[in-house]
Amino acid sequence: MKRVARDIMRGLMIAAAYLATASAGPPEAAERESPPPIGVPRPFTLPSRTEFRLDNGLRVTLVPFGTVPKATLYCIVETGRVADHDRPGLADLTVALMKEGAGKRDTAAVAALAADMGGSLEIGAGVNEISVGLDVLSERTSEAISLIADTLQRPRLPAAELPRLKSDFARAIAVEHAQAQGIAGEAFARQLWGDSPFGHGNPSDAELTQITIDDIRAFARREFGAGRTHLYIAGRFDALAVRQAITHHFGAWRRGAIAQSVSPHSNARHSVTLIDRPGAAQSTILMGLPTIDLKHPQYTALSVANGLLGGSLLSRLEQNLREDKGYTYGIGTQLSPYLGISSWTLATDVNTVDTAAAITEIYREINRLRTEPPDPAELDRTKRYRTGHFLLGSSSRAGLLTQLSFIDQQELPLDWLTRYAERTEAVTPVQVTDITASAIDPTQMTLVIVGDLSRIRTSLLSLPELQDATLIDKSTEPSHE
Amino acid sequence: MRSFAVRAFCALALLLPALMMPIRAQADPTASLTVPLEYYRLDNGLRVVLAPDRSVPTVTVAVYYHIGFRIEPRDRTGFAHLFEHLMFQETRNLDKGAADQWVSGNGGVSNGSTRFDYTNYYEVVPSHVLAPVLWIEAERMRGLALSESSLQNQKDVVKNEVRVNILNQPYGGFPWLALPQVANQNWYNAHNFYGDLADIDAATLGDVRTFYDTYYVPSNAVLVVAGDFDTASTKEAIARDFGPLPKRTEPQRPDVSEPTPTMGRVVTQSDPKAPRPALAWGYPVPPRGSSDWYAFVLLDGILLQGEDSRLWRKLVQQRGYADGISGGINLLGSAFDIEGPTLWSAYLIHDQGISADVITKDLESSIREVQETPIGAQELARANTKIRSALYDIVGSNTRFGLVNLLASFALFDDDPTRINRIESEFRAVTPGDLQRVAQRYLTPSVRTQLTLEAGHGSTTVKP
Repeated sequence: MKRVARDIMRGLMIAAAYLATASAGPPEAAERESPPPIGVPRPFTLPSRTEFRLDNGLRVTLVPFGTVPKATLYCIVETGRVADHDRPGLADLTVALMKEGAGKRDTAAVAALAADMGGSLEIGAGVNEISVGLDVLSERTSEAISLIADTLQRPRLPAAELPRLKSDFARAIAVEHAQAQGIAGEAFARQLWGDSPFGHGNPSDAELTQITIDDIRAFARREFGAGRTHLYIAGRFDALAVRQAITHHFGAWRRGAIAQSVSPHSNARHSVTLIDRPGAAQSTILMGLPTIDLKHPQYTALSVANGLLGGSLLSRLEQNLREDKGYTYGIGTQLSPYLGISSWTLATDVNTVDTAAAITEIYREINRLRTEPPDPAELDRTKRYRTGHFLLGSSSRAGLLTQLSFIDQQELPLDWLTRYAERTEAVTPVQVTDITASAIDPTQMTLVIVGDLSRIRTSLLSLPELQDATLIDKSTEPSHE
Repeated sequence: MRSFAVRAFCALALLLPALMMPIRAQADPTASLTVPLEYYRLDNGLRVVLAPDRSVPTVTVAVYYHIGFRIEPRDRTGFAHLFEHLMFQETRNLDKGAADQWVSGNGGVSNGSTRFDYTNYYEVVPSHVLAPVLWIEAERMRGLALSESSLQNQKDVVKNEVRVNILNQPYGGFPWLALPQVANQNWYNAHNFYGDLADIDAATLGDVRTFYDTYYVPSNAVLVVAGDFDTASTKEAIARDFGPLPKRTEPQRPDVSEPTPTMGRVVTQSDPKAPRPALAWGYPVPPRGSSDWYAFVLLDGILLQGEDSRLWRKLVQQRGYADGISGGINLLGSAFDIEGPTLWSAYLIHDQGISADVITKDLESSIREVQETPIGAQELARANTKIRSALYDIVGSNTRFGLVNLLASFALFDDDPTRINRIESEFRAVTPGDLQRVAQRYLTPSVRTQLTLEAGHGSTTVKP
């Protein structure tokens, strides 16, 4: 099944699907059979949620769901790399250190307790959030609440573990910098979002070195508090006991400072960044641009357009570059909403000799969708795929919590979820073409290509599609290490 | 898709847990998971497993063929996996890609994968789409009609898959593809199952026909339907779609047994793309389903699974060699979904300047502790809890891919899918004495293969 998930592709390479293409038909084609007809859909409704707030501002969402005796806890704090300020890597190192004991428990005791509950403590940092997750057997839900409360309110943040965690971080960065996709992703973010938490990429060795235990402890003091935290629980649990446990373990937590979420800002211009990877068997291509935000009236139309173009294995790009030309194992596009802005991105790895031809086909498919309204049958398949996929995502604890926390972060009403299918079905072929024409403008595209430049540079630079782009040629600099 | 997965993807299925399955499970920790199911065979030998649950309007369909890359033709490495791709191309009644178009275009998700002992094709769809999906799987089983151009196209796709996952990646194939090749002796267990690119290029339509006629026959397959469906009408549809397929001989299986190593091995490879060295160990796993095997699975949980595990605590947290240690039984799946010989593997990426032998000594000391001192009751209970928690997520998953995987494996390899309902009790029967005995017998340096990956520019490429 698929490749290793890459961030850019995550969430969209789940299904496999191809449009029929012309092929030499077998002799009995005239008498071919068809699959039997589909039946009548059965209704499905999202499970209902209960929401409340503690006096200190902690927000809580409970979703009774499923019959499996498990519960998923997911706690989001509004902070993250945005609060690194002049210390890139600070949020990431803080979350790493938060696993090293909390309250009365040391590292080993925390890990053992989480395992006794049937789960493991997952802590992560994003640009605008730090999250703590724990998936446990239902009968341990209240204890899990207690462990998350300790982790956020009483992290030990032991100085002795910091050098090891810095080495781990540096090693992981070195590995990422040895991957064509990692190199491309970092360069692409830098081009798209500039010198901001969205564009900064990984910290340098020097930046990591300067982070001290005092920086981390100050970060935790400053950034954690009930007023900027939202606890979600989905699954089977005793609702009364869970409410009591939340009040007991979180009720006395300080409110903390008000959070400042940050939107990315882009000054990106039409550019092509070439990064040399001598001997590479493939060229890694990332391209994209900032585009309309989630609240734009045509956002759903753009989502459908993205799905049709490259959002599933049913898509035109996949059909063309993979199933027709064989240039790649996979190609995908993704629309990623931030606050007040989105990005549209395309990612693929193509056989080195096919690099320029692949770029030509990519532009051909983008321009075709910008000018020719799609066939209604093709559009219907894309819509059904998207609504089916949405329902599948809604039918898991983790999927539900992802969706609920997303609408909370974006300050969207619940009907953004409940009317997803309705909105999707309403999109017309002309809307798809119009929004693609305005929101995916090839003359504004940022491209990053990592490959063997001695074999691809000349043909790339002669492509008419790239003639107006600013060339950033890093062929003479080794990419990393 | 159309590929074998890398472990990260298998883990993803477990991270998307949830939906309702008719399982009876109480707070009582001795209560067992129960999946109601029906199992029968058609006259042509096709095994059928039905596991109904009507709580959510989706249904999962899977066909597993008892042919994996382990026993693919000797002069055609990578052929079983290439063949998996071909099953998504033309059939007598469907154009290239039309099956996927039906499934995805009606709101479903489909995929396939190739493993040591099986190749599978599976879909999860809104339940009202079940009838065409059953028809499509029957069509694939009876009517592959591949064109020369599609064969060439999928060779190109598969070669690009090998490039993106192996040739252009640091640590590509480490250790999941490389370790079995150096730890095993029998060709069936020790060849490059992703395939030499030259072998992939050499495949012909004749090879395809022979492989299809030999292995893709009803008696060599199991059909699993799980989720929201009506049992009676589904049985009728299965009889209608699959019943007419002729009975064919079940293929002969070669001897895939693996001689027990008599002395430990250390193999060194170089990876010019890797920025840091890496280290992996492999130990042969006791025979599937034996009492030693249950204890061995629990030992894996105690030693290697999770941040509470002994090797994590020693090598990661105390020694700081790496930011994590990964591994388990059968890196391309689980202990349950492999029939033939497999390895228990552990691996990590570490810094230059620390010798592999030093790390291996720490591995040995952790293993010696479980060999010399019985595991305590709480630690054993924790290992059982990990299994129980994972089973609930497999059974309760929204895709049910993990559930159909277990049911299909137990049907194909053991002719008994009801094993799923005995898993918990069989693990609970394992005692601390069993763990100690099994650790002493199987986790010895004399059977271990150590694979050291040197990081370096200008060194030779790792043979995938």
